[in-house]
Amino acid sequence: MIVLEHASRWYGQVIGLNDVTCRIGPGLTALLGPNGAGKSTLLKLITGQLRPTTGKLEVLNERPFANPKVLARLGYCPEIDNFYEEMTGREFVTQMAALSGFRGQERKTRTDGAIERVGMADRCDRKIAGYSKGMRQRIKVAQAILHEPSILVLDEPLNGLDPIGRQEITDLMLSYAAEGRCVLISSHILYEVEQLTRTILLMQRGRLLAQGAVSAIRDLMDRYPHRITIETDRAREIATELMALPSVLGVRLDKHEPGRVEVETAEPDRFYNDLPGIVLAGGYTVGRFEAPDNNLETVMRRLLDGKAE
Amino acid sequence: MSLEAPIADRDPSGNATIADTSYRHYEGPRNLHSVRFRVVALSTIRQNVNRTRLGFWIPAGFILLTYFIFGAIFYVTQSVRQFGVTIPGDTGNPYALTLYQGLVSIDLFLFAAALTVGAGSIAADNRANALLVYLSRPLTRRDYLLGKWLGIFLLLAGLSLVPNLVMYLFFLTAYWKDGFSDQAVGMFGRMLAASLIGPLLHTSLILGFSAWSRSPRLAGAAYAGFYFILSLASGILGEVLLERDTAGRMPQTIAIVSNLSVSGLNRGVAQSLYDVTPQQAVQNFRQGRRRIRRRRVIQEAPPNMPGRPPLAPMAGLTLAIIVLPVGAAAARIRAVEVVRG
Amino acid sequence: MTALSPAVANAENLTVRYGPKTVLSDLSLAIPEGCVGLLGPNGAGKSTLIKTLMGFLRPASGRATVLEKDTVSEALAIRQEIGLMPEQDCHIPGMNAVTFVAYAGELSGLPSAQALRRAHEVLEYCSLGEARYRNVETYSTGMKQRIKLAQALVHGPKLLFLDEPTNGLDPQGRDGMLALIKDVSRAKGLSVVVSSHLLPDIERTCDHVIVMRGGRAVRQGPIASLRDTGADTWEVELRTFSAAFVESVTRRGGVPGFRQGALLHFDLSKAELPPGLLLFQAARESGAQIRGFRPAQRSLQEVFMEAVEG
Repeated sequence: MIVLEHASRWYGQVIGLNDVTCRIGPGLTALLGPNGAGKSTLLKLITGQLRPTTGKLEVLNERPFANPKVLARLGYCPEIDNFYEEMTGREFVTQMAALSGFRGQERKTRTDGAIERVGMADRCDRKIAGYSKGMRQRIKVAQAILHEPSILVLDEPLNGLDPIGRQEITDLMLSYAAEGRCVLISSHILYEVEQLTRTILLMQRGRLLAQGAVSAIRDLMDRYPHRITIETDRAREIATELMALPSVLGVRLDKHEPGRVEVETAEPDRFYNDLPGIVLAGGYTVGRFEAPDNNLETVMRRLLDGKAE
Repeated sequence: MSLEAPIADRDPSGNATIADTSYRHYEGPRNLHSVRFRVVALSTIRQNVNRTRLGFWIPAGFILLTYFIFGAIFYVTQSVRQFGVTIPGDTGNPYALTLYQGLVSIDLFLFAAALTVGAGSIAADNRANALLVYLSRPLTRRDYLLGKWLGIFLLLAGLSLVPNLVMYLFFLTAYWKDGFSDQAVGMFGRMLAASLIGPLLHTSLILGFSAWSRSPRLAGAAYAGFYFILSLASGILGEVLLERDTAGRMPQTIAIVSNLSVSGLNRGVAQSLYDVTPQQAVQNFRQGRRRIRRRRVIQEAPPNMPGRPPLAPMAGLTLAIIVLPVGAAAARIRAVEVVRG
Repeated sequence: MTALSPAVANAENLTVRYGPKTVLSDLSLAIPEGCVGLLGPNGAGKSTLIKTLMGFLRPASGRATVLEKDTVSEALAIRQEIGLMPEQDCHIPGMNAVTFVAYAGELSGLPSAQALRRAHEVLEYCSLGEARYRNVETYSTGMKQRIKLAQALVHGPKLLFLDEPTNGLDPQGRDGMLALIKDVSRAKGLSVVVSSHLLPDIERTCDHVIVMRGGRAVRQGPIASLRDTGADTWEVELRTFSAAFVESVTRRGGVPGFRQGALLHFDLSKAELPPGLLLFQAARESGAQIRGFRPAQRSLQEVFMEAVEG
């Protein structure tokens, strides 16, 4: 639904986006990267606020810049927090609905529906100036969804929300993605992103560093062997046995934690298949066994650091 | 020759330490009561008294120049007088008149300095949310306001007092025998009081405007508008009333009205303190200018103009203008939420 | 569970009104030493509590003490010994980092020479190297957060209030900030109160947790005990979901529980074999590939949801 081919954008000498090629389809995709990586530039390009300096960019098969046809099917929830403070929440969303071209009864239905969906139905008649950060965030999401867009772009959507609100908006995004729409979110909160989706776009310094499913990316990173931690009673013994396995590259014991063995392997599949046999044959008592490195945060950190060398 | 191993090769398992350079607790002195507003005041002063603050030093330069010129005029005038030339229309106390003229002429520069020093004092803090930093310390809102006010006041008072003091000393040293000795003490007190009126007014006003704005420029522009428009309006109103009052029945009202502005209040109170009238001032100045140009002196009646306003209402208004804006600023600061909900 | 170590702050039957609303009603809690997380939905009264503890709000009834000083009568003395890292951006305009932090120190009563020395020390600790000579207004989000922490630490407080410390930080910045918080509270012995909506942040840094709702404290206690499920529940991660595996475990006395994709929970309290052996046996038998298992703990998210909705 969103296609970029060798798209670049610079501001004078400063590069915002550098030769980015990717396709974003239906479902939930997360846009990640350090501050200044070019995420907001990418979002601005997709939502039609900027034109790419070179390259091709198409949203729903058309160029999005100042294109009402595309913008009518796109919903954007920006990070910035600027409103008309004297309006009430309801008035603001109604205004946005009017700007989208809805009239009369349909406008009212859509406004009410959107407000209901973000959980502001009981509080939307107060002036925005008195809203907490979480309430403002919900109003922003409301104006992004009121026209039932095919593409929903959200920049830091959970900012300022308490855990209950985070759950509510997360559920909303998941249901949108389940309906076959394309939901693109940019977030720094990795543990939440992990729960939302496995498809990511990682940017750094204007370049697209990695895209795809997290586990697939992890498998590609063969420079970093998988590290698996096993807590057991006879650590040194099991370490010796594990070292004999062809799939194991190294084992490590810890002076401060005598019951822990750390195994390094480049062939996780083989290792996981071989492990039960060794444990059962040797009668080891295993208390805990996990691979702490396979989470999004570690993958991201390795990718970003690797390029910084 | 010693056969001992050199120090570097001796048993290495001796004493060595690696310092912990990370965070340490602070065990040093801490003053609770003696600082507070003084720190704020000092910070304001420090921020403005640096080389690059042209908006402060240029008015300072002009102020010194103005006083220098008036001092020079006085010197020439006195020299002429010494030769026994009586100048018809020469009225009033020349020392007081010179000090008064200096005072009145520098008000514009004081205003410019006040803009530089004071426009951003609270406005920039509002924009940067600085009150949150201040109030999370052992500082009350009163300390903050007092500190800001004091910082601005001390700077402006310095600008005003220094040239006045210099001129006073000039009189003291050069004209001691010529009659200044009788007035020396009294004049010192009057000079001190008069030179502080301007700083007091400007400080309070700019602080008030600054507190109600989030932008230093806007606060400065608002104060400038207030200053000039009020000046213009009061002058025009005074002239209109003067025209209307052909019978001369309300000289006091006219005098008050035409001095209803910041510079006007400064003038009005100074006139009472120095015991001069506007007519004397004008005449003296005109005479002075004529003397410098060495034209023939012609006695001239002062033109139709408002006289000296009475002290009580002027002083009252001045006091109000000093206190009210500070009250307004206090009200504004009180409304700031610390640790917003 | 009563804290055995003395509390750094106490609230006793605290009622605080904010205009017409009663925000805190009959609140009693004790903030123990160490790192404490303050949680609660928006409007629960967390910021009102902090404002009261700092002496800005006068309680309608009850009392609050911080570091054994009453918040009403000794508010200024309290503020000399606590540091606040606010959520919003704040700084003193027109200064570079060193001047700003030194000034903050002086405002807390430090003599100016000491303040400057401390400013450099604290800025070093917060990893602001050469950037400290630049104007604070040019800083990025991450640096602004660190400056806020530095100005809270400069006068050597005994208690720190951190409001959303990782706000706006990218993952690397967030890591750094949480490491700083952990270091300051564990290694340096400062008591820290962290108020945040990001529960994993709290999990990572805090030992104790206080959950507030509607102006009252609905849960307080050490994180470990709050998260303890009591039962012998285990969390197992398979490579792909396998019904055969569930069967194998059940046959050995395990009771399957919650399931999300390939993540399974089992109650193994009734089984005879130790969990490790049981699970590996079941894996070998069913041909499933286990990628990890550990004792299940309720996430702080669950504790929170249960506390505020229960």
